[in-house]
Amino acid sequence: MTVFKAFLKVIKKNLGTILIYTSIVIIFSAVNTQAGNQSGQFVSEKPDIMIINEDKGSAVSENFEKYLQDNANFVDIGTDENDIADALFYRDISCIVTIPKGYGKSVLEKSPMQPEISSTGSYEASLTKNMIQRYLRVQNTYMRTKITEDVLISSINEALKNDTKVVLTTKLDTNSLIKSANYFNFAAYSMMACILFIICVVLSSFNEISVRKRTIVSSMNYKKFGFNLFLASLAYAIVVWLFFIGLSFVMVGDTVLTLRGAAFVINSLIFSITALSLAFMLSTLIEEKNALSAVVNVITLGLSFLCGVFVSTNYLPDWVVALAHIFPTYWYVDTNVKIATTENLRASAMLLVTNSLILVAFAVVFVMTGIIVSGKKRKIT
Amino acid sequence: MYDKVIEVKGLTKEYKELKAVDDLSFDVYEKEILGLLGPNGSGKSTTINSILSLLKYSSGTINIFGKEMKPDAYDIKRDIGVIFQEVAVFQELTVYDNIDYFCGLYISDKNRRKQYVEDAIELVSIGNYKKFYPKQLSGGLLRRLNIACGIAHKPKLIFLDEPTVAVDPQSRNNILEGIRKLRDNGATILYTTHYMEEVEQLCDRIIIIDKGKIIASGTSDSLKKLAKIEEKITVEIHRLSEEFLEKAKKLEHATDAFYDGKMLIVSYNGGKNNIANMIDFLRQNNLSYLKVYSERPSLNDVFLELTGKELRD
Ligand SMILES: Nc1ncnc2c1ncn2[C@@H]1O[C@H](COP(=O)(O)OP(=O)(O)OP(=O)(O)O)[C@@H](O)[C@H]1O
Ligand SMILES: [Mg+2]
Repeated sequence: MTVFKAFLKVIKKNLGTILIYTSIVIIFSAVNTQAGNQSGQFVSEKPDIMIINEDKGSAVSENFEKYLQDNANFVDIGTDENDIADALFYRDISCIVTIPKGYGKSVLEKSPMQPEISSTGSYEASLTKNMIQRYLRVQNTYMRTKITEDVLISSINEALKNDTKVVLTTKLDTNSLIKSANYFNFAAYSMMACILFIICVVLSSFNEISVRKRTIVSSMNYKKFGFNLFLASLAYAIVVWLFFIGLSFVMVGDTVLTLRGAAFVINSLIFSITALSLAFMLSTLIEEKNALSAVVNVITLGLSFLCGVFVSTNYLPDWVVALAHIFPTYWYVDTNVKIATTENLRASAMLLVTNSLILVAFAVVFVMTGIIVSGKKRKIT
Repeated sequence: MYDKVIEVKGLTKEYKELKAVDDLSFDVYEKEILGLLGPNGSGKSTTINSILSLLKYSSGTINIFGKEMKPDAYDIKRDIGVIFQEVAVFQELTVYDNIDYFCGLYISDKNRRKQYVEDAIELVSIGNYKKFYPKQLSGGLLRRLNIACGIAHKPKLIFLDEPTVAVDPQSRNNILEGIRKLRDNGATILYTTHYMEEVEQLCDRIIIIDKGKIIASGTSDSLKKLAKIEEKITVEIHRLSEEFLEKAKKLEHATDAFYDGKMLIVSYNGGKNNIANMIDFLRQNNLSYLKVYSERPSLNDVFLELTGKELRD
């Protein structure tokens, strides 16, 4: 009890720092939730695309264009090639569909040309591609029967009427899943900072050589003392984790109670335990207490940037991503992304379990290193 | 019950080539204050750390309260309090909470502990600083807090390792007073220091160590006999020729004399009128002087006699 009480008081003394680390995740998530809401509505309804119709005048081509305009959000960038490339790069549009000259004629001649599609490879782009595939399938089916242009067009439109809505729905509520993944990724920063900082401060206070000498000469069983210290650290890590789980209900509550939400929650629990073991290792390595907060900041911020907490790994150079593999945060973030984007959670279960095992392996390595280092230092000579 | 609270036999601690403690044997008796006096690096801390099983010593046996002291002898440890040379407190805890924490390592009963913590605070008189954090305390107050943390659980045997290093005179007196009170309340105390004045004021018995070896032990008075001088007379004098220094050496009962440019110091092995004779000597020779005073020999003289060097440099 004595150990717990002192532990709590040391935490209390550092509450300010904890609050700072915590508010960072709240602010980040709040901003992300706002932004997510806007782009989200478009995703579930209409992808942003640009259409270049080089076959103006053909009824068949114009019908195709109209179909696209109805089912996607048409963005007019103009004709400047640079502008178009920029729009694609900055994700103003997810793809550009070009209907080539002579397209209408080729359909009527039953050897249809392919529309050109340049895309970002994003989820929205794949929606557009699905949509186009569907149109072409219907068009090509009617094309084979010997009918006039008018009949062909009306048949296509009739057939599509029933089924366009299906095109645009996916089993995944991708938007809110991405938002949740982002929340849990941001939480990686704050959870790690809160756990590393406090545990390092507390353990280095308890293990400070003169304080430790006093503990050793006392009548408190030293093993029991160590166990109490471990329990208190674990309890603290769990409390931090619970806090961020509680916060997740506020920030992304709609997903947390689903199966995928549960996967996020479990992943974050494993991550917080890994962070705890990292803290244990660091506390045995860092001698200078004043250097502690600097070291903790460098580690948490560094890992967060390298491993895709703040910026998706998609935007990071390959060598950074390759390097990130040696840090636990990478695997945690990777799991979150997989949970959010996999079409079939059960089928991907093995991948997720593998990632979790890697996190556990990190924890084991950290703890072993910590034990070896502290064992060497324990001797008071 | 047990007369000998601590029995140390043949304690030796080696660091590679260096024998920090060399075949040390001594006993500490119940309710005494035993002073371990020695210059820096003489092995005082090493001795204490070995007795406490903090250090693995090379050879020797140590019994406390009649039982063998071992790292897991928790029943012995329960009745021991230790104040280390370095201040050992939590920077994040207040004065009160620090004492409460260290006391809590021994005493789990909350109400009893509360009383004990208050008693400790009173003993070292830091009642006005209960809510202060260590970094807000002066060096002397910090030392007092350090002591309170070590003795709050009311141990029967207390080790103090140089508790007054770098402490202002007021705090020092307060600390020495507190230690006397602890002894009066029935504790046995092993006290190390390199200040001879402290052991003279405080200790019932003194062990002088140098280079890990005991070079003398006994009461302050019995030790001073070892200095082979009875009296020391110091004269503040600005100029003294070689001739007069030689004359001073030949004064009645004088055993030695030396002059350092400011002070003439003459040692005597007996005699009753040495100071009067000295003043006569100065007058007869027309030597102008500022001050003359007589001292009893100090432990420093004992140390000088036994080792050929000063206790303090
Ligand atoms: N860990 C160590 N490794 C090697 N030598 C050591 C170690 N600790 C102490 N010593 C040496 O052992 C000798 C005794 O040291 P100790 O600390 O016991 O002296 P001390 O009497 O307490 O001195 P002080 O008054 O400075 O505290 C010294 O010469 C010291 O240099
Ligand atoms: Mg010492």
